[in-house]
Amino acid sequence: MEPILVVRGLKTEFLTSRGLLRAVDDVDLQIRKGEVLGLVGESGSGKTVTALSIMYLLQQPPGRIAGGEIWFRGLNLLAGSDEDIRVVPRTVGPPKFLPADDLLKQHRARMNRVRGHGMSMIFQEPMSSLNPVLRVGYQVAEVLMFQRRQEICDRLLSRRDLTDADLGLFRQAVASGEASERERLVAEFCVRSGLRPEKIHALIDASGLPIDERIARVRRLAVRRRRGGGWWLRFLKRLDAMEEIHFTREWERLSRLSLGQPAVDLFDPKKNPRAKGLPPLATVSPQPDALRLYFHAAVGSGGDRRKGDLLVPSEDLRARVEAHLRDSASGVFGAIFGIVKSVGITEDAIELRYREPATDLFRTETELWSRRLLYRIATSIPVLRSVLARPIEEEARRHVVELFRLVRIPEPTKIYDEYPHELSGGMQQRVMIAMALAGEPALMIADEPTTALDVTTQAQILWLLKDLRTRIDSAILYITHDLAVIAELSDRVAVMYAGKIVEAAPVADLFANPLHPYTQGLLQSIVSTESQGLEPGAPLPTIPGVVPDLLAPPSGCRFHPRCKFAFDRCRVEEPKLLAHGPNRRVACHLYPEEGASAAA
Amino acid sequence: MPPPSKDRNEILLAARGLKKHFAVKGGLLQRAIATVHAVDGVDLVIRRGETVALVGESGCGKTTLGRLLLRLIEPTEGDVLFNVPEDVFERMRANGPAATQDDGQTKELIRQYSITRRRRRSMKALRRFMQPVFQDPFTSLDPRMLVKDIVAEPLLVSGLATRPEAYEQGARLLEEVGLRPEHLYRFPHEFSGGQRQRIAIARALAPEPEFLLLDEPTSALDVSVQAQILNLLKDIQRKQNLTYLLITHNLSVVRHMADRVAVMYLGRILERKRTAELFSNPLHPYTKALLSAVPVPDPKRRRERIILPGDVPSPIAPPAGCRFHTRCNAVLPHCGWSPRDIAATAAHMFDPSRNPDASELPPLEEVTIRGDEVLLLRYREPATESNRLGVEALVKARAERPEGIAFRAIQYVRLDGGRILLEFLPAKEPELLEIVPHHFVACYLYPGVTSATN
Ligand SMILES: Nc1ncnc2c1ncn2[C@@H]1O[C@H](COP(=O)(O)OP(=O)(O)OP(=O)(O)O)[C@@H](O)[C@H]1O
Ligand SMILES: Nc1ncnc2c1ncn2[C@@H]1O[C@H](COP(=O)(O)OP(=O)(O)OP(=O)(O)O)[C@@H](O)[C@H]1O
Ligand code: SF4
Ligand code: SF4
Ligand SMILES: [Mg+2]
Ligand SMILES: [Mg+2]
Repeated sequence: MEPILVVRGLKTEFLTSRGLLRAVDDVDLQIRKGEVLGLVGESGSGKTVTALSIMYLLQQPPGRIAGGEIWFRGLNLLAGSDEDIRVVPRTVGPPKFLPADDLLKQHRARMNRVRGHGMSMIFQEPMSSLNPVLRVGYQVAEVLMFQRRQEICDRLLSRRDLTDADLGLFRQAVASGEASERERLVAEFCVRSGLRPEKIHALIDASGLPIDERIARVRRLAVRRRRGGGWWLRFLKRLDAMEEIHFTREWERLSRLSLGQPAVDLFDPKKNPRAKGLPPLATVSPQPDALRLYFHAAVGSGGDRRKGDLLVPSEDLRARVEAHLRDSASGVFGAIFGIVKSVGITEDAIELRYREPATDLFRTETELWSRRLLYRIATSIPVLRSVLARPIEEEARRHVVELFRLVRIPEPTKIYDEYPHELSGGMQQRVMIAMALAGEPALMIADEPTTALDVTTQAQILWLLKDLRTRIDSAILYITHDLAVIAELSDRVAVMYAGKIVEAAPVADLFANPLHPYTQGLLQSIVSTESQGLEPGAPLPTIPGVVPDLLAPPSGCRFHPRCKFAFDRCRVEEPKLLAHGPNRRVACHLYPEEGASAAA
Repeated sequence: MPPPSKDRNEILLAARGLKKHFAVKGGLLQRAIATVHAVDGVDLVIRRGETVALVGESGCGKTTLGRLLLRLIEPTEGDVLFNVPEDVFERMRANGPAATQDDGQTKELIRQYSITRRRRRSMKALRRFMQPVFQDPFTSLDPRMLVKDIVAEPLLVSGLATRPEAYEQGARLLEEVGLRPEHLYRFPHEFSGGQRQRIAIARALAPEPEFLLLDEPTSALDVSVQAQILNLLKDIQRKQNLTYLLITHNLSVVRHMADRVAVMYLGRILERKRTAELFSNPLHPYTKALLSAVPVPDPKRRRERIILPGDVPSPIAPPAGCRFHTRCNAVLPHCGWSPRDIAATAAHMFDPSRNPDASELPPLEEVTIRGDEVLLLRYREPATESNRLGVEALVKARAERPEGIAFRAIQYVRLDGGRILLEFLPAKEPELLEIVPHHFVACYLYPGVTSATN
């Protein structure tokens, strides 16, 4: 199954008063469609920071993502963040990668969209993410209405649609109504919005123009508005931030640009043993709709070729590149190159041609805000409000009640009107799950959602999540320190220790045969209500020592001071997370690198 | 009063009809507006050298009970007995659980052994025998004190040792709990959670107590550190013949540590039994659900789960009768159904405008709850005998249905001055009784369980 989220080499740091703390260090993760990946580790191992990095919700500063890639449905989410790398192709030698600060703002806007629709997060403390003064149902409805409003505004903004039956009223009243009736409506509108009548016409007329022009007009309008309107001011601030943001395609193009580095890796025989049979990659050159790969001729193979010569691609090479891509599709590279539609050939290069961009997911903030503005203006007219807003609100309410039923909230219509503090912890957590589901996310990240709950309530929530899995097809990244919960819920497990993934395996394999000494120790030291060969009261096997201080992590393998198998190499050389068998990975020197002998 | 250290009697601590009610204050004048029944009639025996575990969900009163046993707070009712000879205890027990039935002689015995009736001053001498260890090693140690002072403090305060003696003892204790002497000259914040819990244990051990109250000692710790602390506690217990009351919500820890378990729910003990048997053969429906809810760290094992509906009710108004009846999957008609449980349904069910089956009845005006046994239906016109029969038929029909269990508790449907009155079986709480030897259960499912008297 294709991965929907691939995290590669993620590094997240905090600048603390005592120094630079690397909370997440070179973390690789993969989540496939519809799968539950359990991320387990002790307190301070970096689980929450990993989740926050993926959602781009880190508090920065003191935090910052210092490196790595987060690929979500074939797009690099970190492209455009502070650490984005811009590919500078060169004809000879590997391409250069430069940070591109100017992309940051675009990245932020994109993350807002991804967070609404692609990914959602459930936190340990539901109370901290619910607004205490709003009714819970309304809070979930907000998430839904946000989307519906845009649809309505789309129609408002496009002039042709103003003749639609449900928008007829607007057109009638403002554009071609009876003079007196029109005056009345416009007057009322002016009082409410604070705009002068001619501005309203400017706004309506703006709807046929290109988006930039519309922004400019709305902006001019707003600037001249009298002072003091709370949301207008906020709107203006947003507008300033937005104007530097351009269009979807632009972002997509940029995020495709950063495909350069993975491509270099993909064809590097050191990083990907499968690439051995192919000629060496000379350079990559990103194009708006494709990535061009230039190859060197293998040295000395054909009489007059000199070192560094570029290879003229043949159909045979094209086929081999295509096959190589297909072969690598199962692993990390699968998601990354998921956006490649076909492999073509030009006179001097092989071309990885992109699929059409997924425009639905990434719209510009600008559009979004102009829509919101229009919606507000429109719904501040009572007549329009009843026509436009009421139906969406009612629809949203119905939808929320449905969602509440989905998460098995008893009496959903009653709970809808309650405030967060009136609900028990378990019920609050259900509301959070409903909210997370509202955007129909492809990935839900749940950070210890049951740790603060009682066992019987935890059982309810775990049962609910399992039950939901059969009815929706979101993948779940489930974070916990409780191995028993992992055993219960997840398909695969990644074990984290001191900021690193030390082992990743299918759940049954991990429990039956843990490879990493830390995993082994952890599994032995847990007590269970069911006997597992251990007499009650007998001394428990323990891991000696304590979790290391991340400000000064131990050299070599971070587990070596506590590991009973540690040997010399462990103290100096850091083990890499390497494949061990078809679907397991482990970072420990006890396990020889696979294919190491073949590579030699 | 026998000095506790001399005769080392079998029963170290016993709770007898122990209650603690907290007033909830509110309003402008901060008057008591409600009562939290935190601990509501608990009997518990802790024998010397054993580990008794107290389990239950958050808010069920575990910590409150623990604090009562150490007399860190005063009980509202009932006694804590200390160091009672087995035969004396038997004599007290023979008189029944409730203080109302005590004769003069028993009263005298209780006064003799009760620590809750002692003067505060004479309590002081007893304190050293009972020491608490709390959940959060981050807040339970004074951050401004050096470890050596933290550990020596209880000895100095109770005047058990001179300063040099106390420090020497402190160094020895630190070693005992697996820390090194150089740790004496550090502050608590320089230690990890597990190490801090070790310090807290060392401090508790300083006055050579006989009893440790362990209130969630490992809940704040990591799994790998939890195992270290559990081993340490077992080890010390073996060496010093200590008695533990282990308070926890983690059933896995209970199974590993305890000899006997008491399961608490809303301020009362529902089941009490030896650990191994409780895990292999739980009898109370709540214990069964609790045990089945614990996730097992083995992906191959898929076991039957009992998912309890709803949440734990508020201890401000615990349900009538059996406190667990609102969530129990095995309820009987006499488990304590009261008008509260059906009031919402009744407003719908007996209203002709909302329920077509009730179309014979006049329009429903009002539904009122009177006490724990009576529900009143007032109709727009005075009800007649035929109306009464109609309501009775509706009740009967509902009682037949599987979810109509609450309606089976309706004993009579009467006519009362134009109103219709539904009378419930009296709600009585099941008593904690010895169903099989050494196995106490409070549930009507088991023969021999009568209702609690009071
Ligand atoms: N805002 C911050 N400033 C400084 N350090 C931080 C910050 N947030 C997290 N850290 C550090 O990052 C490390 C990883 O923390 P993280 O919260 O990810 O742990 P965790 O695995 O989620 O642990 P837990 O199980 O306790 O939630 C810790 O050492 C923590 O001290
Ligand atoms: N000082 C107090 N004043 C008022 N109510 C109190 C007080 N102490 C405890 N309570 C209430 O008494 C009930 C029992 O509390 P207690 O702390 O004993 O529960 P617990 O079983 O230890 O729970 P937890 O597992 O959360 O520690 C709770 O409803 C609590 O809110
Ligand atoms: S690399 Fe060495 S120290 Fe680290 S876990 Fe493996 S054997 Fe232990
Ligand atoms: S008495 Fe027993 S059967 Fe009845 S509600 Fe209580 S636990 Fe359930
Ligand atoms: Mg965390
Ligand atoms: Mg407590």
